[in-house]
Amino acid sequence: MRTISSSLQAAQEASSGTPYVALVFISASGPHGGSYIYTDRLKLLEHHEEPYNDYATVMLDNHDRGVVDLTGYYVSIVYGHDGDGIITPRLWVKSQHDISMEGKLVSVLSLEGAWSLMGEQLLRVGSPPLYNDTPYTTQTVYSILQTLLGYELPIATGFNFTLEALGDQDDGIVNTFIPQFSPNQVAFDDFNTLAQVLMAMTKCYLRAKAGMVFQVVYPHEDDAVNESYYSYKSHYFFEYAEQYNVVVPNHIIVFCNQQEEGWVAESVIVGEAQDSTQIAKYMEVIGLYTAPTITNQTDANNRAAAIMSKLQAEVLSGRLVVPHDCRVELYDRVKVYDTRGT
Amino acid sequence: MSIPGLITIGTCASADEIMNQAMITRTPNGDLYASAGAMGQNHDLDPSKKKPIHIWYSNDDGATWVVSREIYVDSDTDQHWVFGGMGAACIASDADGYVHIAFGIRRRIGAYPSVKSNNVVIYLHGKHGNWGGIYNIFQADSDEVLDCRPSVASLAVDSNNLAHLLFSHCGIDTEYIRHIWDPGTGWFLYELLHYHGDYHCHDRLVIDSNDTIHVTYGIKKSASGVTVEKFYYKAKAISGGWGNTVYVGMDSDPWYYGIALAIDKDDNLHMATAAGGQYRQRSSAGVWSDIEDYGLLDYSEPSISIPQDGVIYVAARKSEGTWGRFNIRKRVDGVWSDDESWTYDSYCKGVCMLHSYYPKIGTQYTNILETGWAFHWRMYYGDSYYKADFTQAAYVTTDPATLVTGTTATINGTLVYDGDEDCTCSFEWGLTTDYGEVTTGETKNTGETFSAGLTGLLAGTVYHFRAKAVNSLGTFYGADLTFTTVGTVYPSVATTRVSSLVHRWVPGSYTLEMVLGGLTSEFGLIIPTGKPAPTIPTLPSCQADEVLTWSLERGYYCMPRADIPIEELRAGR
Repeated sequence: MRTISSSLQAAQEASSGTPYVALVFISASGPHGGSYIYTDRLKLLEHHEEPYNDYATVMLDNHDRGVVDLTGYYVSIVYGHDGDGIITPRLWVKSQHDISMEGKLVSVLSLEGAWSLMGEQLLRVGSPPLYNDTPYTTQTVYSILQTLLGYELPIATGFNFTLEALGDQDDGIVNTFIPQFSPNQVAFDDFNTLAQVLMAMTKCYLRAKAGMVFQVVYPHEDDAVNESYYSYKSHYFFEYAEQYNVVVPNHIIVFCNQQEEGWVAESVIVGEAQDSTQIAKYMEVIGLYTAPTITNQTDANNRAAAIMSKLQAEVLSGRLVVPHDCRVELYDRVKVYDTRGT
Repeated sequence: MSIPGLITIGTCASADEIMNQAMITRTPNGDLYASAGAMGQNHDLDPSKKKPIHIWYSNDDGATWVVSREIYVDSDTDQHWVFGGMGAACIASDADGYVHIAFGIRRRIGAYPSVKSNNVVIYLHGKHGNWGGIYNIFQADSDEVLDCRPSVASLAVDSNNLAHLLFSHCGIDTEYIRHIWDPGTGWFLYELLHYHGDYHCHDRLVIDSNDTIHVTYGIKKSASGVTVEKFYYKAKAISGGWGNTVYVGMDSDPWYYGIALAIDKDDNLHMATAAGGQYRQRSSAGVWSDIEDYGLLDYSEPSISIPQDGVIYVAARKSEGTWGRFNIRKRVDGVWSDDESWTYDSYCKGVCMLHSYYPKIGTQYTNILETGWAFHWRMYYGDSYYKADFTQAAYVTTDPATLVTGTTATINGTLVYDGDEDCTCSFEWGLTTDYGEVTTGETKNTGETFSAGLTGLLAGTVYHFRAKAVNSLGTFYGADLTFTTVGTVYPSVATTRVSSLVHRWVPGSYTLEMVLGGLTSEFGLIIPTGKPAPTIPTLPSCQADEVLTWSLERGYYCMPRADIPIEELRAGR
């Protein structure tokens, strides 16, 4: 949850007030340099934040042809109310589309965030040309993330990305398990893919925050509710839809401990996790996975549990539409209190 | 003699009377009844030494007492006396204000301590000015010693106003028997609870809010004469069978020291022994607590009281030679401390009974007995009397919430008893039993109800609340109750999280769309590094009429082709 001031909180919950979006495009080295405040030119905005992906489409009024070439510029969109707001993760302008039609001149920007940037950047650690001779074999998942996001990514991009301290978001795996992590074995791996692979070893998620900060998030059942919405008082919600899904697969089997000569039956370690409620509800559906470099039963079971937890997080699908709330971040816990129909 | 600060209930009618074993109870309308046995001092055959069971009555919270009934059982000339503890009367009130009394009589023929004969247990019930008849509810064998003093017997009333009595009698054969009083048919059930061969005592019986009977009892010796000296617990529904016997611990000689048993408003049992000064609880869920030392040693005839949540009193007496002492220990939030004690140059032979703060009256619990207690003090067999002290508190009940909507509710309470002074009544409420919110207080007196309207509540949410009454004697709470506001809370899975966000801004519309629980499980599972290279298995060579197939159990194997007629397969093709 993005922390906002009490006055901003009150403003965005008030029945009156003016939504606020600020756009300041910045370039340290672009052809025009400096920064451009295009807040007043905004005609349309759609900004997506997704797991390992974020992007936006922004339409600017260009009736005076005053919009400069913004490609390569970055912007941290500010959302708020009544002139007060909070910044969101940085986006880079990847393309600019000027449109002229009768009575209108607009400029449409396609922006992508850090995740896209990470997808473009390949990890170059070790010796060229393959960069695959320096595996990570002594660091925990969290420590490798620190290295990749807080050291290698800044080197590659020139931007000072950091990974936030783990705090209480430890699932017992992310800062304990030491994987045998060997990038660039099959193809050249990008930072986005590597981050996904590392997080898949855990029950945690990775959140991009404003200020080029990444944060590990481990959802607990007893986590505090971050945002609440009501049908009868502020902060109202417009619409909520919810559906239940069966969890498929519901029995995870992870085969581990591959030997140099291949999979030797007597050496295989099998990690398992299952959702007995889902099995009883539907049927047993086995999901088979491999984790060749895991060499003990605890880590094998943890891997299965990690995969199971991600699947279980999808048992309920909801869609919630609210008057804009600048506090919400990915992986927040929200609650919706609905008295409609009573 | 007198003990400062205490109120005399009654005194012996003559110097040769010895009162014994005071007990006290309170009816729902606040009347107090105290009882005591008596016995002739000289133990001789003089019929004039026959002494009564005393019943005293007070309708002013114990400030003044009158004799309500003196019970002489026999009208013939048989020599009898209510000996020792037998003379005391177990006493309990019911929901209609009637008092149930049971006591034992030991008759004797011949000079002390010779033949005992025709020992009986007597029952009666009634109220001040309206006492019923006397029923002989148990006739012991002629050579038995019958014991029904409070220290060895116990009486309680269930939700149908039926009395339940647990007592012991001993002799050659010894057994525990339970009686149930049915007003229509009389005592109809004698039930053996436990058989053993020697002394036994300190039977205790309470009935919880579900009409489950809980008993504790002591065993001094086994049937084979081996010294046991242990306490046990059993329970049963009124019409059901007894559950398993549970060893209580807190070992001591039950004949001399005894065990106390009380039940609180939440049906938790509290018990204490006096010999070693030990205490423990059995929760309503059946969980036994650790044994605690409460600080008294070598006392006897303990009594236990729960005056309010978190507060427990244990009282016991001790006599050595020509001096005696009553001592009351107090436990507040798990910490024991001295409360009161009296030591005089006289022998105290009686029991100090602190009834449970929550004596069961009908289907309700009331705590208006509070810290009332009575005890017997005896000085050299010549001067016996009873005293009591009553400290009133308040009793408040939490009543169910009404007018519950999605955002509002009215919570209710009743001040059952105000402790004879104005009480400030309010409610504590919140999302948990920590509450956190308090309503505005209002002044109330006995019998008045009070309510509070809650607004701004969350839909579909469970709220806790309890009534609260405050007077100069303390703060008193009703039970925790809950209500659930109308409506629904989404999402219904606690681990569901926001999995994508869409910020939309177009002129006139400024929204945030969230997807909850979206697809995240596939990320990272397409492993680009260290991808395993499965070993190609050695495949079996199949014949021309076979096909290579695979199953999870067998792996690769050959099986007959499906297009070959079964007859050919059977022929060995």
